[in-house]
Amino acid sequence: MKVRIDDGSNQHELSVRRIGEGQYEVTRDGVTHVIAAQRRGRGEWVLGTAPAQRVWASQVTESRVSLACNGEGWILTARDASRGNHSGQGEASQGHLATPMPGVVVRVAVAEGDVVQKGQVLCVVEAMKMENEYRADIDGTIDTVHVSAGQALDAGATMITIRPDET
Amino acid sequence: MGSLSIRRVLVANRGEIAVRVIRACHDLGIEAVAVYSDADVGAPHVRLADRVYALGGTASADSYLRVDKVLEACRVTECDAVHPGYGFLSENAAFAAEVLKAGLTWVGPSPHAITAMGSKTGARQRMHAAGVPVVPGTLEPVRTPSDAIEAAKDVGYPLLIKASAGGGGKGMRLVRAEDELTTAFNLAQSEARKSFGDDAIYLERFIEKPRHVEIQVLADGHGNVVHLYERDCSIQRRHQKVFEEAPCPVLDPDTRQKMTDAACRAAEAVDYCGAGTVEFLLGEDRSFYFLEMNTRLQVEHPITECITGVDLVTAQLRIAAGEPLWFTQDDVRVDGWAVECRVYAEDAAANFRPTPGPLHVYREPQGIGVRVDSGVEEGMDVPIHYDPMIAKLIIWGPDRETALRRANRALREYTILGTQTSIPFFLALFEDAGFQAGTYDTGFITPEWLTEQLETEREVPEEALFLAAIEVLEQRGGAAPQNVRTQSNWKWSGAGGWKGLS
Repeated sequence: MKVRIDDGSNQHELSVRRIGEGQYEVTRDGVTHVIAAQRRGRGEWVLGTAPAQRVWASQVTESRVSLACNGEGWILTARDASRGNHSGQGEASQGHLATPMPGVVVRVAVAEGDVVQKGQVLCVVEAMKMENEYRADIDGTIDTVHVSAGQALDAGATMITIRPDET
Repeated sequence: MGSLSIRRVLVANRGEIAVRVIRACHDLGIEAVAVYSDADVGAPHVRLADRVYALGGTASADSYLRVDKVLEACRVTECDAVHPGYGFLSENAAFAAEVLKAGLTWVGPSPHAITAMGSKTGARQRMHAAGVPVVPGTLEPVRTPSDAIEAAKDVGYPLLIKASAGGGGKGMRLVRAEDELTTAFNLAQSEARKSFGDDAIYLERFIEKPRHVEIQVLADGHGNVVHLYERDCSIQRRHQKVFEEAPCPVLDPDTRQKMTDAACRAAEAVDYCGAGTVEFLLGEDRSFYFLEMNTRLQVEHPITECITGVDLVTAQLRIAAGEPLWFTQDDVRVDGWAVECRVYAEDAAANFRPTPGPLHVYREPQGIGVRVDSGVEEGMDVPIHYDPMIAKLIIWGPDRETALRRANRALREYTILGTQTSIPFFLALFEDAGFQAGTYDTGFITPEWLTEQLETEREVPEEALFLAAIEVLEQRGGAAPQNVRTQSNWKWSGAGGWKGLS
């Protein structure tokens, strides 16, 4: 099975295959590893290439995989990529202003049709007791203002889109 | 036991501090009443209390900050005292006055003392008059950007803009030159108005490379004031503390004596009663300046408890019940070293972006010298409506080196699944040579430091990728292919294999 994993900043492609009881073959970047992975209850695994094994805790909710080992933790998005299930990028593209965390819009400093310059403050959002300024990442014209002052936002909500200057 | 005049305490708070206060009540043989918002019905403080009262609402402003609802809870549950914890209504003098007016005991200083220390400009004037050194700054609130520009000529740059009613870094801005002042002033004023309903602003000289050192005091209602030595809270992010230690690693006995004397004078100047903290900035030249007095319990109070053996919360309750202090200054001894790591649901590598979410798995460290004050349990969500703190990890050791090694050990015992935490930040902090030497200041944690130190942390280990892939396979049924042999030169040749991957 091909698996595509997103760690928040990088994408990884692996292929994985069970080759026996507690034995898997995992290929990444052209290198194949035989991995021993044994469930030990309570969502934990004994994992590694024998004899260097560690205990990992793991929890899967849909495509979200939470992992922890020795106090450190990682949250990954992992999908079966062999089914043509292409994950949407979900990444903020240029001129597309989204809030990375839930918050409340304090102020919108621009209106649709305004010409803005890179670095100009577009709106202010309060999240976790802090006011955060969001600035234009490109020169252009405000295409759409999706939010208004006082509005509560979920993480990832699109706030403002900028139409880039035609050059 | 049971000899206190207080019988049943309403704990007007949530999270770990509500749990802490409930435990203190029970340790004294007093009953505790929990209040909770709609978001907190599953929180541990609700279970641990003897009685509970639903405030309704979710946002702080609709629940824990509602004076009318909390007073109604006191009446309905027949409490005779209120402990406010920290944050929320703890420094709200009007609330304290309402509690007293209702004939209840307020576990804290008088409304007069709260008001005197609550206005930062007023507090600075009082402290100046009481002979406590203060940072150069405006003694009157500044109302407009142009007034600020005028006033800044006397205060000098760099300077800090602060909300007079502020705390916890809210409404605070650093300004290095005049051309930055107007923008920063407007932002700070807006934050202050929204957070505190009071947009009074003052300016203060910014002391370069200061440490944040604070003195814990305890005062009874009979004129006795003692201090319980210092805590160093210089490791901060966004002007908020994340790691504290006691004692301060660089404080010499002479400066310590001067600072503790000043702290006691500060408490006496406002007829303080109860537990309070006098915060100072300590300069590189050992000069120190009054920052503010927190007229309540501090988040980081446990490290003082660890090195002095004084239970500050039961002390608050006994003092509120009218008991005179049961020990003198000479009885207070410092034993060993204590540190606190505030474990937050935050992604430190992304400049401490809050990552509230579910705690699918939550297992705490244990063992000698380890204390965990937490307000969460496995299966709970870290709510997005309040502070994203998961727990305070409090460590005691006979000396600093042992305490830090033990803290590192305890952090590695944590298993938390479902949300990012600030644990990798502490592991990186403990590796830093400057931190290990104790020669840090409040500017220690910079975005550059985070990038540099957490870059490797952020890189996902290959084992994690392997396990994630195995989990996806297992979720899909993952049936083992037939007749497979685990030979080292084993190759997959069937249709639908990994063409194009190797």
